Amino acid sequence: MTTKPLMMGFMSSDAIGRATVAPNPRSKEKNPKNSEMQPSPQKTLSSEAHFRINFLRNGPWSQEARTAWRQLAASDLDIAPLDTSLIDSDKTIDVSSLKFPNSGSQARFKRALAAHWEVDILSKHFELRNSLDEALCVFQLYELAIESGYLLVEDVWYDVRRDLVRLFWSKPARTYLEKYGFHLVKILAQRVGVNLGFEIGYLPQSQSAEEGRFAAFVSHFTTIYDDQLICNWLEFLDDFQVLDHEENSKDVFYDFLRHERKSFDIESDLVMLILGAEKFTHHLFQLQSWLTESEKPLYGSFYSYWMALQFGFDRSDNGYRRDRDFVDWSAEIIRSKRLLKYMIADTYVEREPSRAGKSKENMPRFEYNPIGEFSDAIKEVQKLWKATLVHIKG
Amino acid sequence: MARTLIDRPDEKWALIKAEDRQNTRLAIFVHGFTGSYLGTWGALPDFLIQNSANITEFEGWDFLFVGYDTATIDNFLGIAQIIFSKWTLATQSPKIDPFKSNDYDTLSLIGHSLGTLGIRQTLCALSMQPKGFDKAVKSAVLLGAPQNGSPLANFGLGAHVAELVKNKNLLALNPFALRIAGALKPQSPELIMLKAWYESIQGHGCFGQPALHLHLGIGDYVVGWQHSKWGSEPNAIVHNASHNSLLKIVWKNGQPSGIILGALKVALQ
Repeated sequence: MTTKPLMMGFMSSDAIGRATVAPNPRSKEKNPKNSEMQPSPQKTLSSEAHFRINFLRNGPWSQEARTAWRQLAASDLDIAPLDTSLIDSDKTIDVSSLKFPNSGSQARFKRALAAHWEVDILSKHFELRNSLDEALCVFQLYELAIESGYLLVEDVWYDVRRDLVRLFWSKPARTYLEKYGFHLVKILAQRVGVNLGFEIGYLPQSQSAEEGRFAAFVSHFTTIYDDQLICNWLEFLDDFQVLDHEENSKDVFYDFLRHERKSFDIESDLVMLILGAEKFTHHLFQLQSWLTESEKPLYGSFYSYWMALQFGFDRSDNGYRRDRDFVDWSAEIIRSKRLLKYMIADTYVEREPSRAGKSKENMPRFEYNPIGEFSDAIKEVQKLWKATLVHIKG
Repeated sequence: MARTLIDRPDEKWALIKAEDRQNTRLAIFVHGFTGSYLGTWGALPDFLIQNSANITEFEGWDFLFVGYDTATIDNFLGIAQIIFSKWTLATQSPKIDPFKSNDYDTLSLIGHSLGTLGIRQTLCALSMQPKGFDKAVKSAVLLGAPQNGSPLANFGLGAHVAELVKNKNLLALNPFALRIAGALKPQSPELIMLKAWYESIQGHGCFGQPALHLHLGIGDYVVGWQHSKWGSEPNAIVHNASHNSLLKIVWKNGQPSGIILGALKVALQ
């Protein structure tokens, strides 16, 4: 059995370095207490709000966000001329009109944060881009928390305004946000009166009675960080070389699924990818199973980057579109000749029902068809993806 | 009046409690393999926040959802310890927030999947129980219980392929396999031991005989619905449901229904 680290490097450049809408949960370090985001010096919060905000700021996603905060964020010294009273006020802050002492350094971010469909992304910029995605996770969670009534906007008013200014003082960072469609962050900025240069046009109302639904969502989301199989699958989707093989991981896995006879010396690792795909699909399947139709696009948008990669979509200035050059991994797994061969050879797993007081003859037989189960789950996740696409286009 | 949510995601627990009365009854919910303290239960926590004050069977209860990182659990005792520690937290003296205003004396345990085995362990690990625990337990609801283990250990397609590819068990192939997954295998030593332990304790009348409600799904491919009775407990109720739909709340004509709601109403009445 071969065990290898999750990250081994990068192979292809066509889809690499794209921004995530949901964070990349590679980090396994739990609850770092030294988030780069600064605590509010002024607010007096209820203890409940304090616990909630603390978790959203310092959850497992915050660890990998440090690089972005370190490299991209203006320091408190830089924004001091802004006057903290402006941040704490209800006046709109127009970030593009602010002057920062370090504004000359903007140029170096331009290349690092460019859209991948406009320029090739250099491998040295991957870390920063991934880290920025993680940093944006917190803002997205804030917006979902406010919309559900889990947090009050006034509880995070100061922090969010200051942190948006700190992170998006540079034009390249704002362009990154725009190009990659971080819809929830744009709404949040508008909600707290920070003008980052784009209008949303509407502001979703806070549903004060839905805090329990957000709490369940974030509890469910957090489990991704505990699941190595899912992390491995997401690394794979994100073009990391997760297989100990000279060829590109995606090419090898594609071959594995397509060819029923070819043998692979890393078969166990390829099976791990099937497991990861299945677990991630199951994760989304579970989520959509209890979301209402109106909630699906909202919470689905949080996972849009990963759903796009799994279903073979790419991002451009016009949003997501199905790209035939990209593999729809769900479809490949469902119609895999290799997997079908296994299923036929085994004629499925049959369960022998038995229950006290009932004879077996009177009981319906239950056949387990793993591909069928996966396929059913995929269909529901596809509906979630479609609803999300409409939402983020609209 | 709607209930209040006290959420401690950092510590993986959440309490839904009445603010306008001091309930003395507490229902503790325990999730299954790789689940989460609230996410596993989907719409249920929010439903209880919104509606429990207006449902006769629920109005006298507060609800505590507890969680664990499946990777850190070695055996069923690990889950039992979490249940014990949360009951202690809720009842200890001196009292602490958010349990300060309550004198809980009645407990119901509700589990899903692996969580049900943790609850079984809780009931029979007498030497680990906090003082008065056995007297407090009124009922237990076990949903999608892996009475005979889980042939697929929640891995479905991948597990199946793993066995066919290498004629090996998935756990032997999977470098990320969790230790507790071994205990979930059919005929695992841990499972055999727990059953014998549970039946011995029950047979000797050593615990307070809480009302046990076992619910299985005919479409539950994760744990199956074969039911080997443990001791003298009642027969399982078998539903036309999958592993997860056992927990689903369905709204029809403005009225909520669902297997879990029916099970809770019976257990908490």
